[in-house]
Amino acid sequence: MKLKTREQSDVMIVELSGKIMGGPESVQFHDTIKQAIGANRKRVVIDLGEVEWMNSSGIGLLVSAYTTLKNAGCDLKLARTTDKIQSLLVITKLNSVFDSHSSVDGAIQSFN
Amino acid sequence: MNRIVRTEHLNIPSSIDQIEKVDSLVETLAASLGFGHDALADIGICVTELVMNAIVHAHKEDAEIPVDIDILCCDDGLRISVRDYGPGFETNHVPDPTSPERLFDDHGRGILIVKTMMDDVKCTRLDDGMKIEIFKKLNESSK
Ligand SMILES: Nc1ncnc2c1ncn2[C@@H]1O[C@H](COP(=O)(O)OP(=O)(O)O)[C@@H](O)[C@H]1O
Ligand SMILES: [Mg+2]
Repeated sequence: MKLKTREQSDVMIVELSGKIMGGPESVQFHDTIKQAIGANRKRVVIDLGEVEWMNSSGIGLLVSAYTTLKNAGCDLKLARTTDKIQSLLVITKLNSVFDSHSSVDGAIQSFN
Repeated sequence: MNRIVRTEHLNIPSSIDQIEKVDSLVETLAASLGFGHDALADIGICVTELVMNAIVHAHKEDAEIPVDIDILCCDDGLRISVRDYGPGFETNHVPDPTSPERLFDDHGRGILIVKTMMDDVKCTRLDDGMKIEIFKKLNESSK
């Protein structure tokens, strides 16, 4: 897994890529979410478009980002959720928990 | 069982940094058998689930304890077995991660995903550990 962050219209975009299979990289992800809260970024988009696949570790990361941000009064959207990730969200019955958008811009606009 | 085209065996220490190596070998073999992009993802997802479970749950990341992985490329699909030397567990009694009280847990979804994505999953509790065998069928929809 690779992780990059950027800012757009006062929204923090977390871009994930590669295969998310669990391991030390999870720490980096949790740190990024904490940074978003620390920097008072009220709105976060996780861009999944370049993720090759994720296993349950990746789903665990998304759920924990959702709860951590929600508890801090922040809002999370997913963007470019791949078919594979969407099917995992359906299997795990999390599809109705996340607000997914087909583009990053669409996700950003949906905050308003 | 159908005709075996090729077999590979991996014996890895119980260390999380082994997981990428296992995935890469398994996906390479599966690709050479003719599996398509989508099925390769399913296979990668499931093998990493099982090997992670063996490393983390069965062996508590004790690198001294090995995980044995057998990969059988067959003409009807791919069979993989993951064998650990831990306490074992009842695969049919894993708590349901989709229940309302567990829906927001950050773990507990691996076995459910494996059972859903694979065409067959066989779990055997041994005297000294656990063996989980998975099968992904090679057909028009998985090519
Ligand atoms: N190889 C194993 N040996 C012992 N216990 C296991 C093994 N694999 C899974 N388990 C048990 O089954 C539970 C569910 O596994 P899983 O669905 O992969 O979720 P997770 O690994 O996220 O906890 C684990 O929490 C663990 O208690
Ligand atoms: Mg697991």
